[in-house]
Amino acid sequence: MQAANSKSPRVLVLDPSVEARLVLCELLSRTGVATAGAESVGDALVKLKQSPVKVLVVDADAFDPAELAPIVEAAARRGAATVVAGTNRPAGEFGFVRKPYHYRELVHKIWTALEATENPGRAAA
Amino acid sequence: MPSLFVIQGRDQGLRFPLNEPLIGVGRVGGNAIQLNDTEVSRKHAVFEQTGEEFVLRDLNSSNGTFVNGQRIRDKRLLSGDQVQMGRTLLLYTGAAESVADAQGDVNIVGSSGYDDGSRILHSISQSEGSDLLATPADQTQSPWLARARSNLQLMYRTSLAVSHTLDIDQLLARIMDMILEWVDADRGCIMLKDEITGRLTPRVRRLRRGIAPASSNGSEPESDGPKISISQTILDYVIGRGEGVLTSNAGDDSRWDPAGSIMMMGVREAICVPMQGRYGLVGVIYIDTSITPKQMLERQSANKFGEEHLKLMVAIAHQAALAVEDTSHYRAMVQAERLAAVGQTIATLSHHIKNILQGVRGGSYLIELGLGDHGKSLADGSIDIETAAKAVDTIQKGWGIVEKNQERISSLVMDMLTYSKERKPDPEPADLNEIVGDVVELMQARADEFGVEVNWSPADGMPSVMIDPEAVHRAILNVVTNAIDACEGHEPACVTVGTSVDERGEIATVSVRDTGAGIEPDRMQTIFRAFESSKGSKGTGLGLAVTMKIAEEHGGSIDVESQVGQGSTFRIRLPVEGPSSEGDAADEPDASDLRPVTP
Repeated sequence: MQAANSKSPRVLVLDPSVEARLVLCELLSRTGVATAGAESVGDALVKLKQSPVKVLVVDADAFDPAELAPIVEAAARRGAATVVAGTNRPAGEFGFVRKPYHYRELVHKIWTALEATENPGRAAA
Repeated sequence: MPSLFVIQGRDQGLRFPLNEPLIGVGRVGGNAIQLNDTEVSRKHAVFEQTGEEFVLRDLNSSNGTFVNGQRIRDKRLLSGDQVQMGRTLLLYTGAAESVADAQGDVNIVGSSGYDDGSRILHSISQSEGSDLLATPADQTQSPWLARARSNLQLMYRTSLAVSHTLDIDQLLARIMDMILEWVDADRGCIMLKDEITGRLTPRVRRLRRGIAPASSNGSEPESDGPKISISQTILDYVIGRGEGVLTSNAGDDSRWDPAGSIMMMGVREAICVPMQGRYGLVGVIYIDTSITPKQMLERQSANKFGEEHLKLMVAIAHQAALAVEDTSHYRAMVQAERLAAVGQTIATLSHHIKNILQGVRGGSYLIELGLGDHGKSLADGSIDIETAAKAVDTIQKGWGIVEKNQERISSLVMDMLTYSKERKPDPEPADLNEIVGDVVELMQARADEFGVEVNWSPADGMPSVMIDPEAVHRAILNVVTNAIDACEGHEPACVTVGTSVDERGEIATVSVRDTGAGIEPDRMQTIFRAFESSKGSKGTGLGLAVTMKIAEEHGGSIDVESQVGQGSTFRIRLPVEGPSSEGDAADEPDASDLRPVTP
């Protein structure tokens, strides 16, 4: 894992649970990744516009799939990857972690997604 | 949605929704409906949707497709049709049809507004009505009428005997007892056809009281009473032809082979009738009797059974078969619904527990990180106040998360136990204001966290109320928690909790008003149902169901008024004198008795 060069959030954590956001943001910040948390889709859309987010992390169990669609589409348009944590794997090309997950596993998925979006050539190789 | 419900066969109890325009049925994978039945073809039939209806089309299956007993090539299905493929019988239920509202067509008119001259000529009470079936005092009636009355009474008794049970063995025992009471038989048994093997299996056997146990072959009686030996020849005939038979002397009956088993067994008289149900043979009822030479001399007859007995037995057996079918189908449906409810309950609880476990993992992980930081700085001697404070802060954050989730699991378990347990409250004189005040104090921290203002207005002169303080505390806690959650993110965010008592001092009320989003009208009917939650992963959906249960156990109630965008007011009403002693709450049952989810 490599440290981020910028203080701008590269990972956006969308989860209504303040605890879940706190834990994940703390863990990612320790690996040198600047993060932002959002408790609602609307909040996430605003933060997505404001920051050069490369990975969106979503708790799929906390939202209706239809509710999530705008933020997932917005992230894709901006070239950000999406990592989904939940009970059932949703349809689509997402990194997926099944609940209850270990945080190391989730962080690994997020880093893999970061690598793929920030260094697509290296990821492909 | 149209559906198929398996009412007979190995898949009994399964329900298949017809939610595609084309649904194949067969015994192999690849069919939308896969039946576990060796007599069903690999690709047996297909259901094709045409508008609101379905057409069933047989795909040249080996054993055919039947609708209501008729073999079909293709058939438009009506709700209630019975579809048979192999040994599997399915009930088709079509889309809900609109039923004309009869209310507009029937008027109940007050006596002042309507008089067509009709007057009451006769009236008869329920008990007098059943006299129709009693033996009349006038014994001069014709033998035909006496027999008809007697038979009518017997059929009436049969219909009563076969109703109101879900236990087939109990049902059969009732039928057999009734037959022995009405027909002068010594012994009898009922055999049911095994749905899988097709073989007859004895399910109930009865001896008429006073019949000495004696083995059929004349040897010493068995310790557990005599066995009833039934001629396979008779059974084959009854099953093969679907006819009841009476045999008083097998050797004189040309239908039997005199050398067959019936002659070896020495049965003097027997009646064996098929239990013919709606969809096929359900089983067989067999009764027999033997007459000693002495009895023949006394009776001046070698026969106890006659054609009348046979007719009666055929009628009883048909009634019994219908009852067995109904009981069997109803049991299957109950079982299916029970399984569905258990499945839903387990799925919902698993979901909540999983989220709580996820929270515990997150908190634990932060603690682990904090301890790691602290240990590392101790080990390399770099510890300073800032590093130590940071490590402690991380540990505290983690511990806070663990504690909160511990509280969540504790609350979930308490709600589950309260909801699942049929219990009588343990009322004692209590200060309702004190209980509500405790709840408000307890919830203050949560309200502060969410930026919600909580106001508390205790009633003056609140009398002592007979309640189970612990249960009522839980009920109010659930409502106040919901109110605070509902206000989160709203402006103003205010929860007002109050108590009051009515003028007669009979009903104490706890009201909880919030300024949250309010409840949509279509959700008002469901908010008190178990596992109904609008709080997503935050709520278990048990809180209001538990509160309602506690209120009702106290002889009270809960209601809600709500306006979307304005907020909601919940009112819990409790009788000051406590729950009525005539309440129907059961005694303490097994705690594992989880109540199924019912709407």
